[in-house]
Amino acid sequence: MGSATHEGMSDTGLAMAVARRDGRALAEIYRRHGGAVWALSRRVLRDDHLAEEVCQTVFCALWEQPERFDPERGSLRSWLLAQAHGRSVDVVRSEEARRRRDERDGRYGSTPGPESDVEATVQELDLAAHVRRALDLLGPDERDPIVLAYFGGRSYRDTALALGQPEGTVKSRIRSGLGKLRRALEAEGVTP
Amino acid sequence: MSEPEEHPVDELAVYALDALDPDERLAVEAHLARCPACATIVDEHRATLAALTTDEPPPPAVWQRIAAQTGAGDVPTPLAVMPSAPTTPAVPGPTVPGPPQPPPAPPSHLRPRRSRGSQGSGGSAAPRRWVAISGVAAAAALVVGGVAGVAIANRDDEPANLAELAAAAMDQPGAAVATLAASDDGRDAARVVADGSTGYIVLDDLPTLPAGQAYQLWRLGGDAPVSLGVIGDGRQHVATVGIPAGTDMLALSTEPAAGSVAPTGAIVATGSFA
Repeated sequence: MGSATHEGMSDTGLAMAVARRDGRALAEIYRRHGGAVWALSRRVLRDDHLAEEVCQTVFCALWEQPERFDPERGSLRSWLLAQAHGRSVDVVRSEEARRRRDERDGRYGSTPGPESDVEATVQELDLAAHVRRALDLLGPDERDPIVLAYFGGRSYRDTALALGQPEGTVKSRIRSGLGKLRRALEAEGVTP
Repeated sequence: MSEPEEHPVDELAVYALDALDPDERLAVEAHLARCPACATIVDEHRATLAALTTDEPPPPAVWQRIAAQTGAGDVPTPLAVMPSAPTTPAVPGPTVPGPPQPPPAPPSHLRPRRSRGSQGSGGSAAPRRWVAISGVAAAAALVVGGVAGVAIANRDDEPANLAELAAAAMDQPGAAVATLAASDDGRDAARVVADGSTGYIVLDDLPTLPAGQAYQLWRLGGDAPVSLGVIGDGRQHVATVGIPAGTDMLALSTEPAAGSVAPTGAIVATGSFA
């Protein structure tokens, strides 16, 4: 059994091999999806060291508890990215909480303002062309809350604050935006 | 905001973005636990979001850290995602076919839930520990900056099994056992037993290393030392190692936890099979 064998295996087959303590299967999963896990963690955290820690945690968690991935509920890539996003957001929130404590203690003079230029944030995202086209189909009302919350790691309350919109509006636009995004990606030939 | 008997459609989307407040998140999770339809919606949202991310090459340190923690060490293939790595798969060198190791059954919670129907596709009879690593494969790993590693006994429920396997290998008639003498006082610090091309190292009398360091076993006698595996920090006493044919002299050194491509730290013990 060499790595060539693993290259021919499905993601689900690899996850099952990981459950059998097959280190090469873990390596092959990393080869396929490590770049996405890294990219998303880095995007949300905007810190390479923190992103490295999140990547390590995500893949080591797969090694320790492979049964948490349920192939009936979606792809391994989608699951890994959801893990990476959740952990990254946890880090962002705890860093924010720490900063707020520091501010309260007077260690910082000023609070960073809300996102002043959402458009710039969206444009600086390194998105694949088909993803950008799909996002652009949404229009800013639905696109911006998704981008701020997902890539910015913000809560919907923070997102509403940054956009100057009611929280309930932001919530429903996230939902309708995700639905449109799915259809737009399908139209681009991507089947999420 | 909480309407337990209705489907919280907006919250499901915000939940998929990890953007709910903690109490709202708990409420959604409680609903998901009893509503498969909503769980499916969350899965779809996550799949949509996953399609937004484009791969970027992670730095080599990421895999090295994962390999050091899991023991999934010597596989150079992950390096293919790095920009400097060759696009072709790693050198398919004449890897030494290890003798089949007795694969103990994994703990029940780790067993695949589905039938083992995929066995015919190549995953059949995967040995629990892949360790056979020839000098050539090790060299390939070194060329691309990888770490020739081994599966170490790093799970709480496994060292006993590994210790038994090592003991069984040493008890075999004619077993090749090398005793490594400590560099400082010559005490018997560790034993290495070869079992075909694979083998085990048993740390008999070595201190636990500080955080960030690991023991690494080397084959000496060639042009340059060849890594036979990163052993861990000494808390686990037994690990599997690769023993290429013709291995005689061995050295154990202290290295950074991710391992080194050539010895950099102190040689703590040496020995030979002769």
